[in-house]
Amino acid sequence: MIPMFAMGASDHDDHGHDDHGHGDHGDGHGGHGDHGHGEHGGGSSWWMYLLGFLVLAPTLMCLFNGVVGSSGVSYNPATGEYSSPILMAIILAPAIGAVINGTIGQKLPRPIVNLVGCAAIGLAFLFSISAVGSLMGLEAPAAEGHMAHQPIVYNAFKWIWVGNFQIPAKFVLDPLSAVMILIITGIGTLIHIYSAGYMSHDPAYARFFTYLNLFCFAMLILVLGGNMLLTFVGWEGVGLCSYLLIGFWYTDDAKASAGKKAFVVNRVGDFAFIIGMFLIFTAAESLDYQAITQLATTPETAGPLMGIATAATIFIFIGCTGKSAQIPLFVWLPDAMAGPTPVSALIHAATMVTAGVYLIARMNALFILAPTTMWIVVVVGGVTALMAATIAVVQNDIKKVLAYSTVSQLGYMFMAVGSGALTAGVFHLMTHAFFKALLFLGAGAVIHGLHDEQDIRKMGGLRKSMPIIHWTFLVGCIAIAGVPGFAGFFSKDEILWNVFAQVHAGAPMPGLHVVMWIVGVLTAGLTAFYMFRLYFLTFHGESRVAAGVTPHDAPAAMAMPLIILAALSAVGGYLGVPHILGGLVHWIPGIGEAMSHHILHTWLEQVFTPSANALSIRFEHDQEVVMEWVTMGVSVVVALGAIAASWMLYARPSDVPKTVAERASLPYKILSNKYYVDELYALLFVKPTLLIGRFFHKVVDEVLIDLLLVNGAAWVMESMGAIGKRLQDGNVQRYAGYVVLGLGAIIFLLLIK
Amino acid sequence: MNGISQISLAELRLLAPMLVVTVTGIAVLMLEVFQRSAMSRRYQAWLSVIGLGMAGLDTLYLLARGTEAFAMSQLLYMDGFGFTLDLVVLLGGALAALIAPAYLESHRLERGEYYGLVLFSVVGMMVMNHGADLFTIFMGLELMSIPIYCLAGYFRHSSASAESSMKYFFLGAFASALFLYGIAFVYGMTGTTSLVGVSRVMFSGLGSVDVAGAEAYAASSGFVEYVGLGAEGGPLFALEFLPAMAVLLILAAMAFKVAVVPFHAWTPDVYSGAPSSVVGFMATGVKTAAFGALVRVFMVGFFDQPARLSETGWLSVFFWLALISMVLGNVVAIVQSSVKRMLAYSSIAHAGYIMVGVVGASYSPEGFLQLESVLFYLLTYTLGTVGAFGVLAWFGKRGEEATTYEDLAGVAKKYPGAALAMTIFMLSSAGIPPTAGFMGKFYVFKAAVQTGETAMIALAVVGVLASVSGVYYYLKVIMAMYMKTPRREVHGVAGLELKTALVVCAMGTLLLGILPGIGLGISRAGVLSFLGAPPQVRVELNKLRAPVEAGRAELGAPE
Repeated sequence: MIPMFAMGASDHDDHGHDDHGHGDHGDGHGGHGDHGHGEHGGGSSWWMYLLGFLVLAPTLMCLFNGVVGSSGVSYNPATGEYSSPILMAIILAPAIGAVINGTIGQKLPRPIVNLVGCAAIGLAFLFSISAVGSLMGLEAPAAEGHMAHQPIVYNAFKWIWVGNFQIPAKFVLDPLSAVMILIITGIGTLIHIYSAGYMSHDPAYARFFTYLNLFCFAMLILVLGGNMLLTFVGWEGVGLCSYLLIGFWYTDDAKASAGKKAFVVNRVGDFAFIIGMFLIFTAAESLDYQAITQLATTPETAGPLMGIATAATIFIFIGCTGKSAQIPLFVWLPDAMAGPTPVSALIHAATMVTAGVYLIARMNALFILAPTTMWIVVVVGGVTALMAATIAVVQNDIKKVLAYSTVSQLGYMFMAVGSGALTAGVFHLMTHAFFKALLFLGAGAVIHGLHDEQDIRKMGGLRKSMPIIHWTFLVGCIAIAGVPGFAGFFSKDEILWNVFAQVHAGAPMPGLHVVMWIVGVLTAGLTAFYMFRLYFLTFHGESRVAAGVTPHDAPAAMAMPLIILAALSAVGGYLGVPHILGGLVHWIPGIGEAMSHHILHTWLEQVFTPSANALSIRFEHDQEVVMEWVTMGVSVVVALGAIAASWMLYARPSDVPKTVAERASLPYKILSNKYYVDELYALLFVKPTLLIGRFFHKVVDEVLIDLLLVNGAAWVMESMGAIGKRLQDGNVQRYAGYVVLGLGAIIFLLLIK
Repeated sequence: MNGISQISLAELRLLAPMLVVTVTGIAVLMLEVFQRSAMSRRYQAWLSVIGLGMAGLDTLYLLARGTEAFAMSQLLYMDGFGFTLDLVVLLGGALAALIAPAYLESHRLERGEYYGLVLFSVVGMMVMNHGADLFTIFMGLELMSIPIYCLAGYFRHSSASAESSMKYFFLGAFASALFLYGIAFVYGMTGTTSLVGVSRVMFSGLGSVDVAGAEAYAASSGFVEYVGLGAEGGPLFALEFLPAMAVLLILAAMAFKVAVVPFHAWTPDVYSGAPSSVVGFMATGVKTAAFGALVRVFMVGFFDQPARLSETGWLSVFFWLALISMVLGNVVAIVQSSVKRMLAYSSIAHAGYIMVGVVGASYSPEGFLQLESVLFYLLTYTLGTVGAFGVLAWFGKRGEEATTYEDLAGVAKKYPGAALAMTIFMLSSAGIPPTAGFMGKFYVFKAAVQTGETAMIALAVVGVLASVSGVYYYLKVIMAMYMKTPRREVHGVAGLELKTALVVCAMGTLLLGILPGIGLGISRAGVLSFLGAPPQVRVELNKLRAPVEAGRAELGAPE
């Protein structure tokens, strides 16, 4: 049928409005030196937001449920899929918040801006809980007698529809994306609330919340997208928001260029991602995850994918090294600490930087086809982990320590997914999100309480003046150090055990897994060491706080997220109790039975089963349970030893660190200069690029193009135009003459000639 | 034939859009009688818009229903092609009516006949769009042109405006004479002016299926000599002098109206002298109707192989006209200092681009569907150009129009909305995504490239290069608005009507740029329903129409 269309367009955009007094966006903030002065930031009214939110959010939830039915899940017998618009609600809630704050936020009073920003993400969190609840209910028997969860799929619209290149805007909630959205929206909500306190003195708070909401929007697209292209949209979106937020205080040149660096480095990775995507499309003729997994795990159809698997996965992994700050593209993350601290917590620790791990987990079926890539992932992850940990030991900026720690922990996650321990990778992603967000927020609270002091040499003894921050920070340190019972212990131990035990094909050298395990253990020790160095230097010993600064504890809006995250860091690990420790939790009434079987593993099993099956062929079965005890014991001893060492060196006044630094001046110099990677890149890439650029500018552009081609062409054009213009002398008889001449010329050329 | 007595009610129903516009025009003129001097005439603009809008809705209805019929004793084709062109013309007319009030008030030109002239001219264009006979087309041409001549001289106190009107009139009359001369040739040879008749009689020896039928037709139409000629030397139209002259004379007249080089000379003078509020309409409406008539005459009347494709066929003439127009239009536009003159030359270039689409579409019967690119381009061109002249009409007062680049300096600061709209129109005219102009250019060049002929591809390449050089002067406008400091204060008057028109144009431009499917769907519907298409084309169209028909049947539409 002939498509009908709407004539014209609605006139909601009044172009003619003579208003040139747009809100002045020059809200740049020359350093944020003024926040935190005097009374507690935002503390006076934080409960108002909370109250408002608590009232508003359930109301909206009820409204949503009323409109679309209980979380709106419906079954489509034609496709055999469950569908629910709630996925759209999850994604759009932060988008709406961003639109409101981005358009009229400047004119709204601060409490409303805060409320909108927090409610938008909080609502998304509630929607996520509701959706994941529904997902848990959708059980279907899977192959091995296990229960699998039917993914909830929502096809929003046909996005790109060209020939056989058909990309729907399709969102999928399966156990893996469920974990991700709970992390994003849950931690996101806490960090939004924290930000209401942290940014309370910043004039550009509306812009801040706009970006933060926008980030959540993009991140949710990234993890819920049902195909690679949609993920890529989110991937680019979070990159953009990261850039905007790193350079949030853009009047400071260093911060603006840190943002630029992050963006440019990420472009390198994104480019590789795109190439990987193209390769996959040529082989699979689809970018849909379900389709790719289906193709890759069916022996009859895996053929074409086999051919490109190694190349495609390497390119995708390069993309991941950009976003997740691995060698060789990690250099942007430490600089990204220029952004406000809540941003570091949310984007550069808990969520965005884990996108690479998520992507590999999501595409596990394809990675399994490429054992070479898997080994590359393990080695790159391991080397990054160790290298970043060594750098972290000598850093003196509280955020820089945490930044390198993040790089290092991400390396851990890559080791896990690379060795095929996908659950362990995602598990560590989750626990790391808890404790690293906590540590960053704690660091932010310290910085806030000390009026923008970030150097740990000018801290010390803060445990008395900042009790809440101190205790929560301590929990975070214990968790990341891997002290048994806390979250980090479980996930880190699982990774180490898997790296040690899971040996799959294609190892470039025998025993590499043991080497990587040793690297992992070393890193674990270093982690415990530098984290407690940070802790002791900040909170113990004599106060080295500059005169005139009165440290104060976190205001309520900032304390509440800290406490919640501390609780999560303490107990979050029990979602993944290893089977050898199952007996320890089995007695707990009600949930003990489930807990003893590694809840997360059961939950994620269906996503990873196809690959796990492929892996098990290559799994070395001769590893004894006793070895698992041994490896666990080793890592615990190393961690506790490192904590003890750090206590001896930094909890009390000691000359040892200084002596070591002096004795080993060369290693110390190398470490404190971060292995000269930035300098190396400047030499290898930046300088040659500049040289080439200068050549093209001076020679090719100015002489060849500008002078000869452009000006030359312009000159020719202008002369031609001038002739044409002269013919146009306004004489009407002559014009008629042109018509006659033209017609005559045509007749002559056609008929007489 | 015994014409008038046979007009049935059903036929009149098909003419409803034209009648509505005519009646609205008369009504507007009548209302002038009751006009008191102090009263604003804005309501007349809205009345015109309502009339045009109703006609548009009805046209849309007829188009969607797939109406195909002859009307007025086979003088009019009431088909999708005509209706689609009608939509473009009606849109242009409505926008012209909306742009006018503020302009007329600020220049003290409020007189009632303005809207009447626009409306009558629209009727003339619609007649051209549907013409099935050379005479109908001629009638439409005159009905369209005479009000336009008046509108061009509407600025009575301005000598430039008067000059513009006179020049347009003289040269238009000259073109009309050429057209009539061509018709006389055709009639002299074939004894008919009906397009289908011309085609049958002139070319029956070749390609067409029905020689006997054609002979019978020729005999019945009293053209005795045909038999002799045909018997002796095969086809009548073997590019002998006489028929070729006929084709070329008609071609010249059409080329004059669409303003392609070398029949363009009137354009810059007329456009720069005429009031800004009507130039957009002059540029788009006239071009649309003239292209519609041109396509109809050449596709229906002169489609057959030798006339079209031989070394001396009209296709090669079109080819060269397109080429020269694109190059010359863009090159001369570069050196203009007046924005209005620049836009005039750019309209010549646009005519060249559209001609590329026509050339691509007429190359082979299979490519006929590519005419959709022409229709689509006309739509995008209408939005962008009417909008651009609308913005120009915004500025200046008391006979002092904003015409040069300097006059636009600083607009962005004082009137950000106007500057934004103008930016969109300029980007669209330059063919930069995501605006409609880009999609328009894409489709016309695609029409040329899909033929696979080297020459056609070269034509598209020249077109692309020419449009690149066009970017220069379009961006100059944007630069003037945003970056130049004004030498004197910009002054603009805009009412709700003008703003509405600009918003519609800007939104439409963006919409068609992002979702071209909407415009393309309508254009395709128009091409698929093309009455009078030659048999070999009809075969192709029927293949494509089958699914459409099936869809319509499924919907249970009447007929």
